Amino acid sequence: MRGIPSHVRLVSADLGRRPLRTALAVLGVALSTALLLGTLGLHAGYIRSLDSTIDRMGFQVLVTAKGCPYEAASLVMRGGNVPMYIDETTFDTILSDPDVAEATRIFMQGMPGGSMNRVMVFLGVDDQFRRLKPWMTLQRGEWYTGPEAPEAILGYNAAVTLGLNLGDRLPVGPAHRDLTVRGVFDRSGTQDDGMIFLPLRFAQELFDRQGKLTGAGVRLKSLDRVDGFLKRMFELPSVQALTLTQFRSTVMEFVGTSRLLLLLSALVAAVIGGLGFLNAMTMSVAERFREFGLMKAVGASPASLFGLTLLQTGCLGLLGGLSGIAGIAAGGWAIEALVRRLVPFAPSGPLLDLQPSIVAVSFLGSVLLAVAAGFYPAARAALVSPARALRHGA
Amino acid sequence: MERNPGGTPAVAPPAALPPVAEAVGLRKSYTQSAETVEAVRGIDLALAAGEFAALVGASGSGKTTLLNLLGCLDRPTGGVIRIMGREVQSLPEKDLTEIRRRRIGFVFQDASLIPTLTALENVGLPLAFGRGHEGARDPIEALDAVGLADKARRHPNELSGGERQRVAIARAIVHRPALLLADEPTGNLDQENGLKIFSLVRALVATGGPAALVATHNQELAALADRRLFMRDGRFIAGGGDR
Repeated sequence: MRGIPSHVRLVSADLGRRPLRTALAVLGVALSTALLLGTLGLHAGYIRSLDSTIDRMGFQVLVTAKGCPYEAASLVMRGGNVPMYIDETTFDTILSDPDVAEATRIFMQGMPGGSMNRVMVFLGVDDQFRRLKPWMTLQRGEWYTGPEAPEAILGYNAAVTLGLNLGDRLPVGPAHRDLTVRGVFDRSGTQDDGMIFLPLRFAQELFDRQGKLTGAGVRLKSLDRVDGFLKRMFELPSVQALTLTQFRSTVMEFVGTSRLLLLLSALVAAVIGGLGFLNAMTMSVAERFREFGLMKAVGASPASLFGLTLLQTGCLGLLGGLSGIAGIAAGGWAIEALVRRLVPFAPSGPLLDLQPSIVAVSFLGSVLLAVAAGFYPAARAALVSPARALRHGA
Repeated sequence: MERNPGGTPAVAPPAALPPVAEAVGLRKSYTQSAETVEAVRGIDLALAAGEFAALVGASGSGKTTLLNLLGCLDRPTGGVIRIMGREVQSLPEKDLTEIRRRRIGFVFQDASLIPTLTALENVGLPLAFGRGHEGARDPIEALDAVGLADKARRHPNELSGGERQRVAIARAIVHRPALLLADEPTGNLDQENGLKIFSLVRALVATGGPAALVATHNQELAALADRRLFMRDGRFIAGGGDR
């Protein structure tokens, strides 16, 4: 029969009655959802990118000059100016260690340059680099003609950002020496994409650090022997060694604490959002006491009115949840950019990972929050006395 | 004998049928500002099928309380109420809901339409709750019965006061109730529209519709009913009891 309003129709008709209140109630749930989704998504994205970055370093142990090993590790991983050096003779000692399978010299320098005067990160590498990172393949061009050649191979993003191609020249270093672009690496999805690779000897000379290294990346024959290797490194003067697993653990401790704080913030936001929602729904029910009385008079049972009110809160939760997810999906880049500016170490790769399971948890959380906040107003609607409501509207 | 679902007149004359609604020694008191108010004081009433009765009395005479009791919206403090022969005063809420849904139609003074629904949806509202409305009218048919089929898609704020009240009557008869209770349905209308509403109720009852008990303080309109029940201070002062 035409003209019988469904429960969904009854709910949708009421939602349009007070558009501002409806919008605010939805906004409260949307913010709670966005905060929960953002927190969980950032945590998952951070871990994934950190693991990917560590995996793609190509070595398990980083040996640097004495100082804060975590600062040195984070600088090496994200690219930057590391103001501490070890002698190349130390590298030879490391290489001769019986547990070392491969080792590469690392010489890293950062300096302003390019058309936008942004910080360019230069990495002096030797042939060992290609053995430790076999996935770094040349998209175009060739490897250096020699260890002292004034040539550069650009990371994929660096080539795009600087707008350079094979054969182009790039003035760098304190003396503004011209480099010739010799090749461009394929996209690797790591911090290497943003770097400018130079032949090691040329890089040391360019920055006037002959015989010096930022550090050494070491791959061991077996990880079971890492303790013995670290002990031997500890005995060497002026150097320290840190496994990337230790670095990951330390970063994760920090991230775990931050995550807990963010989750607590999300919880507080959810409680505030839920209370606002509860208030909006209670007001809505109070304003409609007479209508609920009328519905009872024409045959609605308490269970029907309870269900109707809960359906309304569920719909608002649904709308809020979807809005929150859409908001994060649309504005995730801004959150990511903000996090990159605020945290001391942000790995390359996407920091916000909106996995389906996280989206589902956040969405269900928002709907449940709305439904839970709807219980009290729904109970009030169900318990309306029709005679009293129709006479007094209360 | 129950009225058939099609709403056509029963074969037997109304007087031969058991009362649609019956009250015996009906009482209702409530506390107001630490005082006990006797709103209904021992009412006896039997309303037969096919009967149109007017409940006449001043404000505060107990008309609304009596209608609420007969309509299972409120519970009495004493006495017996029978709807279609079934005692209802002690029934659980679930059963009272079922009786309201199937047996009773209400019309209120201010029409009480839901402003966000169309006229047609307001008429269909009683059918939106529960299951099993076999024999119910199509909402558009009910709207047609009150002469407003052409205004089905209008919202209450697009209707006049008289039209709103006719929509409320269509809503009250859409499920083919046995009993129509109307509380001052003409209270907010002018004499002309009030007359139209009473004539409409009269026509509905005469064409096999429900028994009707309509409260009013307008004697002229009440004269259109089969029977007039005069109330004062919670009692019938004239016209009470059986027909």
